Amino acid sequence: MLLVLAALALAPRAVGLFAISSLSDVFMIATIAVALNLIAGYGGYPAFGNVVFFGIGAYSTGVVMVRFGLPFALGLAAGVAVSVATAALFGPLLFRLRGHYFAIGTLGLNGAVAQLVTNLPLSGGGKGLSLPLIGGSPFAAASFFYELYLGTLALTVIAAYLIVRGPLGYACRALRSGEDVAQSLGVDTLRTKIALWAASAAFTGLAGGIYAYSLTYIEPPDVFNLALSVKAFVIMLLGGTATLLGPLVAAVLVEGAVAVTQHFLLNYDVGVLGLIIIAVIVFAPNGIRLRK
Amino acid sequence: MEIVQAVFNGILIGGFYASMAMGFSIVWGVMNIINLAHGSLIIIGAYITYELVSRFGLDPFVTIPFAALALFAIGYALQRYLINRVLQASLFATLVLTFGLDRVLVNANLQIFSADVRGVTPPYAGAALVLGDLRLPWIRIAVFAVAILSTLLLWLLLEKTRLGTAIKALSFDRDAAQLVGIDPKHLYALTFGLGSALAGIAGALVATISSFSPVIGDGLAMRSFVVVVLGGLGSVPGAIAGGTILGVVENLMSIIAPAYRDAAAFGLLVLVLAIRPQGLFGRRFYAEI
Repeated sequence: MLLVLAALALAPRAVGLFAISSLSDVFMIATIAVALNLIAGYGGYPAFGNVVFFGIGAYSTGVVMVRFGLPFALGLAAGVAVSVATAALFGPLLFRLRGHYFAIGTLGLNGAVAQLVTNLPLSGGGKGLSLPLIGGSPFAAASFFYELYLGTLALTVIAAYLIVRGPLGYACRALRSGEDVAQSLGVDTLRTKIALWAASAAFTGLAGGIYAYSLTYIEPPDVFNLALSVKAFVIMLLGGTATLLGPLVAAVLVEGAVAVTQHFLLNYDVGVLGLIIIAVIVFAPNGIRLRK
Repeated sequence: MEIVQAVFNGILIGGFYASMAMGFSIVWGVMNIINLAHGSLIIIGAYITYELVSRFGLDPFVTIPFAALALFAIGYALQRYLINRVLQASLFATLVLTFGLDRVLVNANLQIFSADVRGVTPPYAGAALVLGDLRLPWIRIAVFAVAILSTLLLWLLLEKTRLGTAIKALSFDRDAAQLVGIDPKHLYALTFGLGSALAGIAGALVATISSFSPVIGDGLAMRSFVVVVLGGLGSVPGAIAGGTILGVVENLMSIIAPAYRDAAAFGLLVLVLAIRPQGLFGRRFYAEI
């Protein structure tokens, strides 16, 4: 494991710009999928609109850097803080719902936040927001974001490991096997769910913040794009829900398939993503089995 | 006065929302599928009407049966050969599957019909019923009537026919239904076909009263969900009430805060889910909350 990580961390010296940016995309979507797995896989709550935290992270970072002229690190911190606060604020409301109702409730939250961002002058409205350029050579910039994405992914996996092995993990296992039973055993189910969702929000927001700075231009339809959380869902399902490393393998497979097909079928990229989603669900509804 | 006009506009569009949502509701209620491709099915119906009107000069209202039949066939095939395969899998699976299906349909619509905004304008589009300051276009009144009629027809089908009884039996208890000789695969496909036929009718109506393009489907699917949640799953009067409420609130919002018109649906959704999750007319037994 550590060897793979070390090899990946040194990779930019050996491979070209295209490989670095492709791998960065893989790390980003894998981070989102691992974070989603916390609430959807381990928690059993299908947070279909989890992309809302990606958008919040991106816009918080952007607003902090552009409007207040603060450094990138503070932007990221703000993105994480606002994401966690949003989960804590809407958790008590949305966790009254289960199943499809919860899924669409999170979709509604994403739609509402996207609309708010589109209309507020602070966020640049529908025109989008341009962030400062990072400077340096394109290769140096790409390498910087590559390492950042890799570090974030490693951090997310480690945090997810600690969470599911810790007391919260026992609570959420009790939760999944039956919410009423968990409650009668003395598990504070609402607090468990909110804690899981807040952790999921924090790492999704972090990925969003890095994305904003690396792209230097963000607009609401792009960062609040539902296709992103659905892609994370597909990766989670393919890798196996409630597994730690499954999403990493699945992220490589799905991103690879998307990249290859988009390269050959430019006008059909949306449909091809749809076909990949359908194929995964029909042929591997319970994911590829990495363990057992 | 502006407000009264907005309320009436809202009621008229509410009928359309009700018929669109009933198609969504029957699929959800019977098979526990949130069909995220519902909006794209509506758009296919809209293009059928658009093509028939612009190629053969048909009246848009005459095209409604064609749109309904075509979508019934598409819906039947989709359920029979694709969605039935994953019906027993997790809730995630059907949700993600219909999203994937929606992406494919959006892409196909864009390639076949282009991204241009379309609409049909029959010669009588300008005629209106004028009551004092109030102006109600006849075409919108007709669309309202067709929408309510199709919703009631579906209700009659579910309540008064053997097919309806079989569908309800299947949604209550799959195993028991199989024991009395019901073929779930065929009946699920019929149910999805019926839901899609209503989407086809809704599509023909969309083309008649407004402009459309392949990308507006997402908003329609979201509104269908809001109407079903408002009214309660599987309730026909609920769908009509929910559709009317959404229509009126949206039209009032376009006077008060036009920029947040689309947020009205989300606001209503959050409000209802917080206060009365089973919907205005829903019974707890039907829903999964």
